[in-house]
Amino acid sequence: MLEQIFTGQFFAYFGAAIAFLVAGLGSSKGVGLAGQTGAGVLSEDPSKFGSVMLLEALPSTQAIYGFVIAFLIIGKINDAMVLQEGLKLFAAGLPMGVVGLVSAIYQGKVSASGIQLISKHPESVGSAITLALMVEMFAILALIVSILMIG
Amino acid sequence: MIVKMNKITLLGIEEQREQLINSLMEFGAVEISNISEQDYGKIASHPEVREDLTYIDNQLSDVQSSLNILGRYCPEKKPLFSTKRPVSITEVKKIISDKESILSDVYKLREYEHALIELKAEENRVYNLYRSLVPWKGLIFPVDFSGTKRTGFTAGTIPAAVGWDLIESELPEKAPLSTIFRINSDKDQHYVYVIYHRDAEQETLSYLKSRGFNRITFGSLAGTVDDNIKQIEINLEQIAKKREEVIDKIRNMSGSRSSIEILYDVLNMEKSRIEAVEKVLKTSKVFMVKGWLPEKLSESAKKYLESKYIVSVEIEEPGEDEAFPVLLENRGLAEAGEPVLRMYSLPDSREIDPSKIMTPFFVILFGLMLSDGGYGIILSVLAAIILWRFKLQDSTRKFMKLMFFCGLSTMFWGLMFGGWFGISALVPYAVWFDMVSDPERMLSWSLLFGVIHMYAGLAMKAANLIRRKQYLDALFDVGFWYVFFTGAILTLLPYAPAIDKEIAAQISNVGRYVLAAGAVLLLLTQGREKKGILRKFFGGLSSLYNVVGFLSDVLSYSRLLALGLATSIIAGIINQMSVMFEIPIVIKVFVSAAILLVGHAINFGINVLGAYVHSCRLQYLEFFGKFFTGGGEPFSPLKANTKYIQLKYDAEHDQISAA
Repeated sequence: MLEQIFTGQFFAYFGAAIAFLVAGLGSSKGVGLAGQTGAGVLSEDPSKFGSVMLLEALPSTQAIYGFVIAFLIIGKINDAMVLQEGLKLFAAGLPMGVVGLVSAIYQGKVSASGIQLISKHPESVGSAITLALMVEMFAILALIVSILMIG
Repeated sequence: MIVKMNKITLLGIEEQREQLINSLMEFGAVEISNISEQDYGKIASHPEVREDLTYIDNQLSDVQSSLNILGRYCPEKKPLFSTKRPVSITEVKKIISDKESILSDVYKLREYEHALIELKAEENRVYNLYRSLVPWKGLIFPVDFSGTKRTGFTAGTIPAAVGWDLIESELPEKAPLSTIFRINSDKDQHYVYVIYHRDAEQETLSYLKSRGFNRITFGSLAGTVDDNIKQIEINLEQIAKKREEVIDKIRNMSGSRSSIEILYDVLNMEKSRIEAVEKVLKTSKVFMVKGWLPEKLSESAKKYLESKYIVSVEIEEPGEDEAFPVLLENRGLAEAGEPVLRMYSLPDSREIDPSKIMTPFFVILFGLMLSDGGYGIILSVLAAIILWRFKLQDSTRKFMKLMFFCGLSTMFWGLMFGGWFGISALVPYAVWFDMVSDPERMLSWSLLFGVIHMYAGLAMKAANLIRRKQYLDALFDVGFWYVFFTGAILTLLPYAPAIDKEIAAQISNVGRYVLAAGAVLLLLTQGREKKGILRKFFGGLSSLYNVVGFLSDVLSYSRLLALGLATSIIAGIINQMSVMFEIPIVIKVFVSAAILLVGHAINFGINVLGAYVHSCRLQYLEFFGKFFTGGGEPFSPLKANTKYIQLKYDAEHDQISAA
C-alpha cells in the first residue's frame, strides 16, 4: 500500500512543489514588505516610483528561481522512476526552496530599508540596490546547487 | 577621461561685478568656490545677499505652487521623455520686463486655489449639517417649535440598544400625559419626538433620560426639516457651481503656463547668480572671485574676460595632491557607461576614469545574463528608436546608448548559446554550446569570465599606482597578487565542474609551485609598511587571507550562469505553455498569441532588470573593489540651471563657446 503512494514520482513532484512553494512564499513576503514601505515613500514623493519599483522587484527573483527548479524537476519525471531517483530530485528541490524563503524575506527587509534610504538621499539608489543584492547571492548559489543536483 | 581643471582667480573692480558674474554665467564653465573671509583679515568681506536670497526663494515657491495648481486642474499631456523647450534670449528678456504682470497671474492663481480651499471647507460644513438632518426627514413640526401654551414638544435620540417596544409600553405608565413618536432608527439610535402636557414635563423627561434620551436642538435653524434639507441641497449645488467657475477661471489661465515656466527658470538663474555672489570677496572698490575651470578653456576665458572688463585673470594648475572638481568626458562606448559609474560614485580627481574599461565589461556581462538573442534584438531596437525619435536629456541619452550596446551584446551571446526567444528548434544551431543542457560547463566559463574581470580590476590598480610613479607598489600590490591568485586558481582547477580531470591534475601540480612562490613573495612584501621584523612577517601572513575574499568574489560570477539559465528556461516554458491547450484551432491561435506576447513581455522585463542590476553589482563590488577610490566632487559650474527651458544665446555667445 505505502509503496504505491510513496513512489519515486511522488517524491520528485514533492521536491518540485517545495522548490516553488517555499521560495514563492518567501518572495511574496519580501516583495510585500518592500511594497508597503514603498507606498509610504511614494505618498510623500510620487516621482521616486522608478527607483522604488526597482528595489521592490528585487526579492521576486527567488520565486523565479524556484519556478525554474520546479520546472527542471518536472521535466525529469517519468513513469518508470525508481524511488532513489525520486528522492534525489526531492533533495534537489530543498536548497532552492529553503534558501529562497529565508533570503527573499531578508532581501525584502533590506529593500524596504533601501527604499527609506532613497527617500532621504535619492542619489544613493546604487548603494541601496547593491546592499539588497548582497542577500540575493545566497539565492543564486542555492539555484546553482539545485541545478547541479538535478544534473 | 577626467577633464583637467585649472584654478582661476579674478580681481576686478566692484562696479563691474554684476556684469562680470553674468558673463561667467553665460560662459557656463567656471565653478565658483568659496573664499574664506578669515584669510584676508578685516579688509574684505562677502557681499550681503541674505535678504535677496530669501526674497527670491519666496517668489520661487509662489511660482512653483502656481505651476502645481495649473498642473492639477489643467494637466498637460507630458511626452514620454521630457525635454527642455528652446527659448531665445530675447524672449527671456521680454519675460523679465513683463515680470510684474506674470507675477500677478501667479498671485491670481494662488487666490483661486485659496477660494477652492474655502469652498471645500464650506461644503464640508454644509454637508455635515445635511447628514445630521437627514434622519429627521418627515418631522412635521418646524425645528424651532417648542410647544404651545399647554403642551411641550421635544426632539431627541434614544440609543438603539434600548428597545422601542419597551419605551412605547413604559411611557404611558410613567407619564400618562405624554406621547412619543418615532421618526427613524439606525443601527446606533432611535430618532424620536415627544409631546407632553406642561404639568407632566418633569416626569416625562426624567423617565426618558433614564432610558438614555438625549435632547436635540437644531441650533439657529428654522422651518421644517424637509424645507431645510431642500435649502441645503440648493446650497450644495451652488457651491459645486462656484467651484466649477473657479476651476474654469484656472483653466482659462493655462495660456500663461509657458511664461510662468520661463519666469520660474529666470528666477532660478537669478538665485544661482546670487548664490555665486555670496562666495565672492569684496572691498568697497574691488572684488575677488576664485574658482575652477577646464584647462582647455582657460586661455579663451582669460582673453575674453580681459578684453571685456577691467580685470586681472590669473590661471594656475592645481597642486600635486590638490583635489579638483570632477567632470567626465568620454566618447563612444565609454560615454554610455557614465550613468552606471555616476550611480556608484564619481572617481577621485587623481585617479583614472574607469569608464573606458568598465563599460565593455558591463555590456558583455549584461549580454551573458540576458543571453537570449531575440530579447537582445528587441532591446537594441527599442533603444535605437528612442534615441532616434526623441530629444533626450544627456543622462537619458547615455543610458539608452548603453542599452543599445547591451542589446547588441545579448544578440552575440544569443548566437553563441542558440537562445532566440527560447525556441527549442533553434538551440542546435548554437555556435558555441547550449547552456541549458550543459550548465556545468557554463559554470566553469562564468567563473573564468569573473577571473578576467577581476584581473582587469587589479590592472586598473596597477595603472593608478604607475600613474603616481609608485612602480614598486604596483609590482608588490598587483604583480605578486597576480602570481598568488593564478597559483590558487590553477591549484583548485580539478575542482571546477566540467573539466578534463587528467589535464587539470597536471596543471594543478604546476599551480602548487606558483601558489607557493606567490605566497612567499607576498609574505616578504605585504608587511613592508609595518615596523619590526615580526610585524612585517605577520602583516604579510595575514594578507594571504585575501585569497578567501578573492575566491568568494570568483564564485559570485556564478550569477552569470543563473540569470542566463533563468531567461532561456522561462522563455522555453512560455513557448511550451502557448501550445499546451486542447482547444479548436481557431481559438488556439489567439490564445497562443496572447500567451506568447504577454509571457515574453514579462520575461523580457524581469530579465532586463535583473541583468542590469546584477551587471551593476559586479562592477561595483567585484571590479571597483579592487582599485576604485571614488568620492570625487562633481564639477558644478555657474550656469543657467533650468528646469523647463533651454537658453539660446545670440551670436556673441556662440563666439565665446566656439573659442
